[in-house]
Amino acid sequence: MTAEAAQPQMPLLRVRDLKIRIQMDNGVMNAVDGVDFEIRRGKTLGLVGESGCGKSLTSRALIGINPKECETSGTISYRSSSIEPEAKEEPLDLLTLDPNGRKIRSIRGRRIAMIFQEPMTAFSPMYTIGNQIMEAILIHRTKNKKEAKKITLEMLSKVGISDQEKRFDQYPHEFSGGMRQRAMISMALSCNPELLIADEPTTALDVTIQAQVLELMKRLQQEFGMAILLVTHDLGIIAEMCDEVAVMYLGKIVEQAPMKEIFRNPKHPYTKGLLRSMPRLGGNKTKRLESIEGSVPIPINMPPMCGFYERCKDRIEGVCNMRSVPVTQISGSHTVRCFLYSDQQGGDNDGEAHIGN
Amino acid sequence: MLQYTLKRILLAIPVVFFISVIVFYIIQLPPGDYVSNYAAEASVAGEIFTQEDMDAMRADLGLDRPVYEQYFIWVKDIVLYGDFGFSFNYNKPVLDVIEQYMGLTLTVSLVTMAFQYLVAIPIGIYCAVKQYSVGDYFFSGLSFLGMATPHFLMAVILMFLSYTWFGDPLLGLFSAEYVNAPWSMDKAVDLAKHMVIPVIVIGLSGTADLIRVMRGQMLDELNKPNVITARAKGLSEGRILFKYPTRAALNPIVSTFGWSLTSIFTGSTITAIVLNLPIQGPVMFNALLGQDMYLAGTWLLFMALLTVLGTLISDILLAWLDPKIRTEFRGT
Repeated sequence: MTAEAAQPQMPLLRVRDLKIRIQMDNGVMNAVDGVDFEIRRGKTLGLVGESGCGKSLTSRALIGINPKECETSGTISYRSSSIEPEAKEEPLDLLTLDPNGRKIRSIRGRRIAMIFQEPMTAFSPMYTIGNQIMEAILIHRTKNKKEAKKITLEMLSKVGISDQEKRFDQYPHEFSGGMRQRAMISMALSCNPELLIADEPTTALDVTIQAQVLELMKRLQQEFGMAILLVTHDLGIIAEMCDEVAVMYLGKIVEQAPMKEIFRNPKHPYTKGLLRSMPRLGGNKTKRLESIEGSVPIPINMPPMCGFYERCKDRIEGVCNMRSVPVTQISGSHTVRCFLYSDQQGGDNDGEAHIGN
Repeated sequence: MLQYTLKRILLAIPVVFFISVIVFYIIQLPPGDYVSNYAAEASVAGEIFTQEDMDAMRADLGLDRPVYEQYFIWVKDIVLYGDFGFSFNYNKPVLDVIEQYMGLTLTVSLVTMAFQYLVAIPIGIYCAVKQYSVGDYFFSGLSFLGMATPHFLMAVILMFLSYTWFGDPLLGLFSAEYVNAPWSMDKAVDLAKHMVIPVIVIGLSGTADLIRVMRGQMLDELNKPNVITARAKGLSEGRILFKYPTRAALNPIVSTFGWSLTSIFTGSTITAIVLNLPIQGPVMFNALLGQDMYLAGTWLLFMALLTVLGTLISDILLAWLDPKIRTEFRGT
């Protein structure tokens, strides 16, 4: 079964074999090591994993805003619908574009927008909120300042900020955390993007505000019909928001499936560990919450082996630590990168299989 | 904002008063006074002063009174008549002496300052953006050299170079024929020519300093998330650079502006002596040497006042530049 057969419609964004290498003093760090995923129009893909697994780098690589030190390879084919709907236009490989060039800049903020984890530092303290939101509109939508301001005020009211005229002229420090993130969302959505990349959008907010912001994102997703790539480490948010989930570990996607499938039928030991370490309502109060033992190795000069080997309870010695792990198809849309489900345990495949290839 | 400014000015008054006491105390500290100095110099020239002569001279100058009485007379004259006393060395009122040198001092200082900011800020930005590039190392090396080289040495080297290359060490601020000439185009050109060395020498360490500060600030700012946000919005690198990191990095630079006020008015002493510049620095130095107490005292007081004023200006500038502080004032 091929990916095309499963999804007759061409996805908005298809990432293939994305690799990000960073030159360190003691070798090359494979921060992102061969990531494949697809984002479908109007759907939400959750990218989940612990700190340092490369999920933020992956999301930023999509619009080429990683620092120069990140050597990026692979393909990111992007097929915009708003340019020419249903046209047989060749998809655009975003990675081939000059990261400072005009072409990618016309996509950033316009077609693919991004919101960040810490809205306090993501806004500059030097300019008013209005100025910073209007900036994107002035680049992409209109040169007329009055009109841009009108759109800005509209956007502010859409994200539930009242008294917009006054808010427009206020500085980020005069906003509360939740309000700042709302403003951030209004900035990202101000140009009506097809894809919103949300990098831990609620991590810096307290729980009640988190729920509000997620609710807001969901509502606006329906209203604007955009796709969302949601980067998070919080499985609760995944359950709340996502259609599909990709679990990332040490620069690789170890398991990918529709959201319900991940929660009902997790395959990879790491995914299982993540789910077990999640607190549950009505769970056993006296039992300690489980955690995954050990810590993430640093991906520098790693031999070909499973990155989770050291921490895995189900590891197969002589197999998992000897070769890199191929991707195994569990069902049509469920893939896992683990020898436990692979029929190649004894084979000599180097594990370069990709979904849909 | 206005309230804050007024409060700061009111607070400065006792500070200035306290400083004036210390200043007066300090200029009384060295053994002897202007008269004994004068007598010693005169005796070298073969003129003998008797004790009576010296006492008469002291009485004449008011130096025979108790110190506190001298202080109160000095302060009273300043406050009531704006009279800062009499310069023994120049034999005219202190204010006249200061006025005589003020024009050129300000010219040299302001040009130097402009030189510092205009050179240092672009270089600092360049060094941060191209961190660890050849250019960065070159300018960093140069700025360390600039910070470490003593002014007077630099002055001598540049004079030597100017002499070997152009046959003129460019001493002073004017060529001999223009010193007492009325202002003309030629005189201005001559002044500009003579200013090159002083401006470089006086400005060098400040420039070097500013380059380091600007570079450090920029490096901080360039890695801030708001730069990434701006990039994600689709702004071009050039606009991002000037709108976000540069604007934020300028705050600490601009706030140092006030502190340089003292050096603007007093000029650079040692460089001025080496280069024979007719600016305030050497005048001050001679006043201290010759125990020309009112001139020296006025000078010290003036410097202290400028420091207080400079700090005040810095604070107000910073409050005005930083939206966070600004809104705090708007709120109250």
